[in-house]
Amino acid sequence: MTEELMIAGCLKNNASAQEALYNRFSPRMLGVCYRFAKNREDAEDMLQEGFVKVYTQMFQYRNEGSLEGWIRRIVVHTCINVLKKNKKFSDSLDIAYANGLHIREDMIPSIMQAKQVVECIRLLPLGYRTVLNLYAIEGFSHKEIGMLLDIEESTSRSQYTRAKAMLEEILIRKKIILKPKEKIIYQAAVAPR
Amino acid sequence: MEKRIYTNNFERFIKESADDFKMIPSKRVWHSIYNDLHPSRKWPSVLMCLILFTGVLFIGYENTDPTTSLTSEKKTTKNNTPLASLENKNIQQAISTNTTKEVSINKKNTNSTIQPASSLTTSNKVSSSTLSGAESNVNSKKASITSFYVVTNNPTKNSEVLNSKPSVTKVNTKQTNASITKIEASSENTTIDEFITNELKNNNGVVTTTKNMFQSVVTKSPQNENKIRQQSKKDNLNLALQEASKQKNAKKKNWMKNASMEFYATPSIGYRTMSPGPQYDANPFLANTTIPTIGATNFDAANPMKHNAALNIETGFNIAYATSKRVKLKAGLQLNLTNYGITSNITSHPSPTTLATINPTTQAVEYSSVASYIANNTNAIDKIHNTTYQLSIPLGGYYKVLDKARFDVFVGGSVQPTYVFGGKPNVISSDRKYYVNESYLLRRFNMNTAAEAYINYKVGDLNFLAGPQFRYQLFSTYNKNIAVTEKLYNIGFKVGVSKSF
Repeated sequence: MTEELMIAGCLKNNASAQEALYNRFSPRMLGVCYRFAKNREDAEDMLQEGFVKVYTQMFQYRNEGSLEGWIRRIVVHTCINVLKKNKKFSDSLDIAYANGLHIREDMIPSIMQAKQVVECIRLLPLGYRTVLNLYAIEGFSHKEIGMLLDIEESTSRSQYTRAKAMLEEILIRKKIILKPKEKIIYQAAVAPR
Repeated sequence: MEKRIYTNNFERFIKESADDFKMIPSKRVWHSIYNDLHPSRKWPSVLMCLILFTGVLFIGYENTDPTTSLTSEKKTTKNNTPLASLENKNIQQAISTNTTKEVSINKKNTNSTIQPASSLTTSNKVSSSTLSGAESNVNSKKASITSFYVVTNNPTKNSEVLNSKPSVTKVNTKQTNASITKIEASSENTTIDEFITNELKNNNGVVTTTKNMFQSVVTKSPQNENKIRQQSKKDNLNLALQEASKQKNAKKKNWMKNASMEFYATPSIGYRTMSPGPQYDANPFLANTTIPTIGATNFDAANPMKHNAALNIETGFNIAYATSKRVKLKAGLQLNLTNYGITSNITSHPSPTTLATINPTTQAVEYSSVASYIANNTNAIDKIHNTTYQLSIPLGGYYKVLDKARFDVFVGGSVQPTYVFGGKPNVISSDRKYYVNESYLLRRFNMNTAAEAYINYKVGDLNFLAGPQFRYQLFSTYNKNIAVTEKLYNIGFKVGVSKSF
């Protein structure tokens, strides 16, 4: 089914079109949710809420930009809203959380690289992780992040800098990347035997 | 394959890695989304749950043992004692036992016994009811002994009576020849032990040892004899009342024999009739332009409507009562889902349109501006549904037209006052280019009629019934301000099960 047909069907509340749209985009969107969420169950709840919004707001889609990008933006906003309901993005909490980081690192499964990187991102404290997700992966500016998370733009910048450093350290320790100032070699999409 | 990046490309590396990441969501997610988007599809399961729940309640009710509450009554009748109103059979047994075995007259009257002479009632449970001496172990609260006779071996000196209301009439502890006295409780709220200890201790000499409860030897007086006779009359009255109560219960059982409970479901095909309200005919301005009627002479071919019949369902229960061999009356509760399909397009933006409404004061047809997302398009492949959710009370009757050993055939009918608690009305706009879906357009109270015929097949205690049914809605689906009149009807097949009480 083409994107146009899926959109038209979704506008008519057609269940088969809705399911086709879901089947096409849900795996990637769940990956997005998983980066923000505490666990898989929370990620699935976010995904569910996000897709319901996608279907109910489909009439707002103007065919400007890719459909995936539009859906992704809705899903990301949904994730942020869910996180905001449960947690303040404050520094103090995050630093306390970061102290226990070395213990949690052992839990990273050594499977495919994308999964490894995502799991490393998920090791970061919530505030760091959220800012890193939004800035480095979703492409939001620090100003937008500040508005989304109700924090100062400068806070977003500092959190991102710390998050980046912390993630880099984790990735080096896990031997996913090499140390700075050296060429970094990593294996892409190779499953361990 | 190896891929090389540098630390200054760290963000790119992170983004690429994260973008490659996918996870397969569990099926639960899609089911939840689907239920959120299509809530009406939940109704069949909700109805089934309701039917099952009601069925379980009915079975539970049917299997409740009614003999428990009758135990004490039966025992009383069997023993031919007037202890009819005891609430707890253990209390009854304990007290009746103790009155004959443990309660004894003093040493001079060792053959004496106390026998219950009248009803002994308790308003609360009695944890222990052993009457052993003056310090009785009867722990009843608010218990009262209406009367006890102390029977001695001396025929002329006969008994002692405890009664609930008056006080001690006469106690004579020094007489060696036992006779009759009557000790009566001061109030209904006096406990047995309080009564015994207080009343007897207040009369010196009544209690001589802890084992001997009553040491009352009383002279037989004409007054006491009268009282005993009166008591006897009361006992007879009690027995008569019990008999009347039994007859009443028997009548009740007869009533229940004639009553039955019926659970049913009726899948049906539902459609509608549609016509302009009477105001259209009276208003020449509207003639030939806005009457949204299929098949009418002024049907507007430019904007036809395409409607289709769809699946409806009714489910509920009745209580039926046989007034004669052939006639049954019924009343019950029923849930209805009415539904028909409309071919149309859902648009991505609202479009302005108008609804033909009736001014309640002038009764003239007016146009109300509304916005619609549903375009009337007979070429569209998609359908919306005009649905209502109704709760109705079917009141009617059946007539048995055929009576065979294994099965009966009934015809019947009912009127059904109906409350519409939800739905999607999808009213056609005055220009017939759009449908307007607003819940306030629904008429909340309506009236339906139904006619049916069914075969009642008997299997043991149960009767299985199946047969055709026709249902028609008497008033318009839309509220009285909408100039279009739509009446729903459906033809279905009823299946159900009934059981006598």
